Amino acid sequence: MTAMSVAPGTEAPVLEVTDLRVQFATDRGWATVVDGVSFSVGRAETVGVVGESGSGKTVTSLAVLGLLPSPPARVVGGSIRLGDTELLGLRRRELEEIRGDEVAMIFQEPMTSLNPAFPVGDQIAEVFRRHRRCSRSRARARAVEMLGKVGIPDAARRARAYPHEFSGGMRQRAMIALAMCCDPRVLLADEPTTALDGTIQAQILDLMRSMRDEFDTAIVFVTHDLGVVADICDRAVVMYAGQVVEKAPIDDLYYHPRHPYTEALLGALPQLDGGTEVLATIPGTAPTPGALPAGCRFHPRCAHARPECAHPTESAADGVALRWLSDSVASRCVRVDELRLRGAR
Amino acid sequence: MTTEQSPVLEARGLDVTFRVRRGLVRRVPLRAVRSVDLSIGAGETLGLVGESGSGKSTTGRALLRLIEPERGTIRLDGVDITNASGAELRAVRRRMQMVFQDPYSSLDPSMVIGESIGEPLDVHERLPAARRQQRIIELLEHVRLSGRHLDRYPYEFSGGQRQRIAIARAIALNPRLVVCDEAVSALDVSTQNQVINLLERIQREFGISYLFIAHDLAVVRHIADRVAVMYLGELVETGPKDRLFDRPAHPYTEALLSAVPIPDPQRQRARERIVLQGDVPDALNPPSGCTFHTRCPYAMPVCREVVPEPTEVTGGGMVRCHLQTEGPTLAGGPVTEISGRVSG
Amino acid sequence: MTTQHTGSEPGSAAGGTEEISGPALSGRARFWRRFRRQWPAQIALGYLIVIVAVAVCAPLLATYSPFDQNLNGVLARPSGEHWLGTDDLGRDVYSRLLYAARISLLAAAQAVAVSLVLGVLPGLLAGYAGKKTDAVIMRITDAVMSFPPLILAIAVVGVLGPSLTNAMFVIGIIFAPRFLRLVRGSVLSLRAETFIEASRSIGTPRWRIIQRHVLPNVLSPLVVQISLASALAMLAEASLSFLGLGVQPPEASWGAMIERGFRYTAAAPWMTVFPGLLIALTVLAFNVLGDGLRDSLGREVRKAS
Repeated sequence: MTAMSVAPGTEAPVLEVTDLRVQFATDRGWATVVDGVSFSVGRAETVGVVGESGSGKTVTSLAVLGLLPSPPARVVGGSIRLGDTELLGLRRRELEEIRGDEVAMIFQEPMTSLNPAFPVGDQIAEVFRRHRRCSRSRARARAVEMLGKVGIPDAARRARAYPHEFSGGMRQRAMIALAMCCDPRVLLADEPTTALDGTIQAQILDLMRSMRDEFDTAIVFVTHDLGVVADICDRAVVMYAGQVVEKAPIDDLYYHPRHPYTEALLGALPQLDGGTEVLATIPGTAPTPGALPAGCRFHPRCAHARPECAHPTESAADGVALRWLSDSVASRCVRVDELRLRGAR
Repeated sequence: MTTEQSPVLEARGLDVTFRVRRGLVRRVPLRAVRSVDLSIGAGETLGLVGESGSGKSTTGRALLRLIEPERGTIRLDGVDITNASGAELRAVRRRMQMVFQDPYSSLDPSMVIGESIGEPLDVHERLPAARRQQRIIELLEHVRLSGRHLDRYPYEFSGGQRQRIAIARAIALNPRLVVCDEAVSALDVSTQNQVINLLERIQREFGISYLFIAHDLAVVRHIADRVAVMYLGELVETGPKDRLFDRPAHPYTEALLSAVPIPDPQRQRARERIVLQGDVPDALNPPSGCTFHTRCPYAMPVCREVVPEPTEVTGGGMVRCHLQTEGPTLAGGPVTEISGRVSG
Repeated sequence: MTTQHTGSEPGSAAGGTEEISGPALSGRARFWRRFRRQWPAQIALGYLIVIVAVAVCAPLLATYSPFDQNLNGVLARPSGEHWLGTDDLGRDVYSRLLYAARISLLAAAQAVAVSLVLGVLPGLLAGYAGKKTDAVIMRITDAVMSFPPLILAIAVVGVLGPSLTNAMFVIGIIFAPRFLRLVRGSVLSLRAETFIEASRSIGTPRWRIIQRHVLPNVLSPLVVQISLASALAMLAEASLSFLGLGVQPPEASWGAMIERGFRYTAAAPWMTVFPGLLIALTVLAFNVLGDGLRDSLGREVRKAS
């Protein structure tokens, strides 16, 4: 599983997560919620981390920034490399230096990043000053510049407004301005548009695209929405029960999925242009970390499951190994070579 | 907006106004729902879509008389229930039920689910204990949960399972209408579909009508028969779903549809999108004329001044837009005729 | 079960209804599972049970009558005959402590009961009824809270005469706002919960909503508060008795025993040390138990994801 996450022949990744393992303390001991997750993001690239709730996608993104609450969480293995720097094992102070500067994060609810007690512009200026150690006026100018860049009209005046004076969409813009003010190499976005209305989501996705192109930022986009992934991502990593089950460039992922879970997710989406009589479902529910099935973790719900799916493969001690099928496509399905799976309609 | 038979629920000129505190003493009126007309036929699903703050949830609650409308009439099976109170209102409640968005907070955490499902029975039908128990088990099995689970607490169930429990509770009294307020929005795709399929099966079996309030247009396209689009408290367009989705007559409907990302990368890239500028205006201070004119890509001078009247749309339904009657007259045609775009 | 299978119904793969795993746990079982991990609270609970048992069985455990004076053996140090020594009137300290436990515990219970009666119902009303009721109740509460507690106690006792019942009644009044605010706060946040609206939407009458949905959910924080308030009531009783405003001789509470022993601190420290120790331990036990209950009674709202 290790040393396989960089597809050969690509530019050195900006962020590389390898074999990440995270556990949470539960009533019944430690439960592994992120189990050997590997992925990488290159410059100006957007990688989607897709999964349903409980798949471990958010825990993965929080682990990158060292933002997991400990206890109950602990990172038990793997590596997170930002360029040449290993982030796992850094001291808190060193991580704080990197956070907001080289790696920034935006969340579903902007109020978690914006302090209601201070004007928005001051908050951006403060982050910029902390990392760039410049003068107050220089930092203020930067804050106004960033608010302008994210499309907040009359930025100089709005910089003095408090977060509650902004609408939901404007807050998300302000949070993006805050995240991008130090020109980070990596932007972690955790469901940044999920709480927004459709028309505002479209605006924010456009904004993120233009920011990525302007700043050459690598974006990790955590979401459950396959429509959003199709819209903004270049590659995607599909997670199920704490593991990556498939990763591929998005065209491959949507038109030639190589894991039955991806197929099932795509098949379950209601279509905007109608035409489905009965919606397909995935039977059963996702397993909890304490009660994972043996072998392939998806097999109890899989339409293509065979008896052999319940047995671990030799190459992986505890389940099925993720296998590269080409330079850029990997799948964790035992039967991947014999299955022809159905993609987007 | 007509259905063949007399509608189960019909609202005319529904207005809901909240008094919002501004400053210490001043209270200003917020017109959350403005002259809404709608009707839902027997066994029909009306999808009500719009963005947050559009008044769609308030409309749903006002129809159930959970919020008092300021003006307008609500008829349930032809009977005016606008001013029902006491026992009469209780009888109304029995025939209209609601399923809420958040399956985590709509069930009392301190009550076993059997009790939650039994509550409507306790309030409206005094059944003997054994009969009551049997009915609860039947309801649980209707939503495909084992009748043995009735002594368990809500926290033991997943989101989708809880939503099914909430549905069991809503159908316990064989209602005529169930208002589903974003009932599947909080769920993952796979569980969401289980709940949608369940709602559809229950509709087939019991002939229940649904008011399906949602912001996910793909889900609405699947489940609804007719769709109504709300913007700033007003219905801007209604119509049979295929007509409304394929040939939207209001620029807002067109923009809403265009904003939905399609889970198909090539089609999504190839699509020409209409990205609306700006935010939804403050409902305390709505724009003059057509409330959508501040964000409308086709706004004309008249839109700023005159409130558009409802116009009938070719293919069914109603739209309020000056494009239909002024300037480049669409006369009931889809907006795509002037934009030259084909949405979707 | 039912036959019509579209292949897409929930649980159709399992051929019928869906099962959830794990044993069904009642609310009580869940509480005990969590409480079992709170060993300090368990020790505290054990201690309190012992103290209550001792108070109840005082006549059986006492070696002397608590009122028997022996003027020939005053201020005797602890010995085989008088395990914890004797006081200034030659009464057996150990036996008096046992009987005083009754009075101290009863006094605390009385104060808590008074504040529950005065706090819970108005709290429910303030939280659930309209804005006007709320405003009236809260202004009264503010007025009560703005009295200096000791002055209020002295004033009431001054009017009604010094007795433990009167003193604890005052303590109860003083504590009532804590319960009132707690209940009101819980009710206000509960009112915003969807399950209350859900119950309203099926036509449940208001009193039934309070009874079935509001009260059970207020109960957990209330139990915690009762434990913590018991500790404070016990301290307050000790203070008032120390000032002579509480229990009247020859009866004694632990606080009254300290007051009496205070004059002989140098000559007979056992007269103050033992009741003091018991007060400290019991107050600590109530507090630890309260904390443990808080941690075990927390609502399990969401399934871990």
